[in-house]
Amino acid sequence: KSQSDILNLLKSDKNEVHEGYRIVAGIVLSRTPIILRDPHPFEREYYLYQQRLEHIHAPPFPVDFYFKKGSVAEKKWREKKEREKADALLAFGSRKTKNKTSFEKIDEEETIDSSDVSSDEEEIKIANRITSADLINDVKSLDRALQRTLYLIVKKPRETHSWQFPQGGVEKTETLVQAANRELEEECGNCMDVWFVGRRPIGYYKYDYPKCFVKENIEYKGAKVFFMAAHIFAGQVKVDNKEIIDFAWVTKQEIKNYVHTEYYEAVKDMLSEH
Amino acid sequence: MLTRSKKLFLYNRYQFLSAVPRIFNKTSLHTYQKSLPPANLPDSPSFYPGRTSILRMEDFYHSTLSTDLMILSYKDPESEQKFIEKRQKEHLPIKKSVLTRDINPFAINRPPPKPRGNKKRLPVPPKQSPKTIPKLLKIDVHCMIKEAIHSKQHLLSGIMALQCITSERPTVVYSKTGVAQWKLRKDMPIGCKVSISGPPMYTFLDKLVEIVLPRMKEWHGIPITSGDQNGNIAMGFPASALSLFPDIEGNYDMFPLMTGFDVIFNTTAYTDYEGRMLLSGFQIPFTPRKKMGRKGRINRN
Repeated sequence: KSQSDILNLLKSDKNEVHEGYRIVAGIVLSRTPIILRDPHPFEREYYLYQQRLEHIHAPPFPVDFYFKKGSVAEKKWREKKEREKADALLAFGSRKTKNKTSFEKIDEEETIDSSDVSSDEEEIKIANRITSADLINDVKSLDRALQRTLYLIVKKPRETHSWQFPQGGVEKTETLVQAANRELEEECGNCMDVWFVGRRPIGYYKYDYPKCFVKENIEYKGAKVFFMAAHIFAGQVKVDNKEIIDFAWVTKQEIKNYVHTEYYEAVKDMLSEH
Repeated sequence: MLTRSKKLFLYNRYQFLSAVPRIFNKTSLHTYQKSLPPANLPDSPSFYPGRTSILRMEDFYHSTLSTDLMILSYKDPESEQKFIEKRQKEHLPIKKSVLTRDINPFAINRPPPKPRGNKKRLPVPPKQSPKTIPKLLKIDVHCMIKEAIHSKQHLLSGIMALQCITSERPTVVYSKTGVAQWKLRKDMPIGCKVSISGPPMYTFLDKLVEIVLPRMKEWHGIPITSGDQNGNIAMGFPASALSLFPDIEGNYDMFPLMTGFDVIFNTTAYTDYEGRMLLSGFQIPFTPRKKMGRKGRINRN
């Protein structure tokens, strides 16, 4: 810690202390998954099998109930059914062909059909599951790894143990959540829409300050960090280069690459695998 | 932006279409069959196909919501003990003489005397653990059709509507008592109900939250007083809400009578507060309290 920070600590009498350890509120700020996870290959095969079974065991579709007789919609439905029947037969028939596989033939047929369909109905455009941030591996972006939970870690201006969750001391006149809110704003700026999950901490980590620090400042032996869970809904971190010099939004597995092993061991059980 | 690839889907869907015949009427046993095959096999008449995809709402619950609920519904050991003791408390019986009398030989193996003041004994919750996090068990959708009193055909509309919404066949509800004023007799078919759990429940919830509730006119949310004090929350819908469901929107004309219906969310929560917390997590809004004074205090138990 820098000289000015130590002086500030000595000045302020309002920090919570317990048994010589400074009470600190840490923030586990997470961006929850945005899209459904990719199914495991076995899972996918199972679901396809179940879909087939459902299709076979379903009672006949009541065409008269859903489509009025002689309407345009009914005509389109019947045409679609005939096309599907023809495709199904193709899947069986072309098994005998050696040159082309049945799927390639179906693909050809599909491409011809899809042009007719798109002219009548609006084609639904589905966004990419792998975003540009994934491809560049932009760790600062919140659009990366949409299937996973991303956690905020910040870099403090020091050599060792620089990467950690944002944290700060709890004052005597405030609660844990209030301290967490205040510290998050001080360290990461006020441009984030954040919601704290209740007022109870989700984790606890006790550590001793390095010996060189303790000699100068006998008041604190170390710190007891109580982690508070929070979710981000909008916004981004603002680096002010005073308290933090860098930040990253990373998954649970990627945190290992940034954070000290001892810290990771203390913190990993709070984090979600999803 | 990529368009959805149709290639793989087509291959997998129609691969065995014409190979296996459609089986939808398998109620009777053949002469050579001694007993029905087990229900989980496709040969059985009671075979119900399992889940066909990952469910969005269920996955959301397991990945995000359950952790948040665990944090929010955690009780410290003192308050947990207090709550369990409150639920375990035995209320005074109607006849005080029961307490002062010696062991009554006639009362052995008989149900205990009823409590005073019409107080009900609520279930006692277990010690809290990751397994006791509030979870959605099932949803009951119920329709009361008073037009069925004079003509039973009106029931069909309700049955069809519920089946379209929930994808399950509803059962008919018969009246338990008669009311002469409304020309209602006992054991008269007066409504229909359906209970859904698992995949149909999550798809129904998805439809409700994403499509129906946002489009409802002048709907402020579920009343915050709703609940049976054991975590089950109910809400009512007007008839206009039925037309907002995508299953009914398309062929609205086929339903001769549009009726309102009520939805009961059955949860594993032991308090209304936790039940509401769970449903809020699924993005179902509740009307806020009007008064914030003594009467408007939130009761967490």
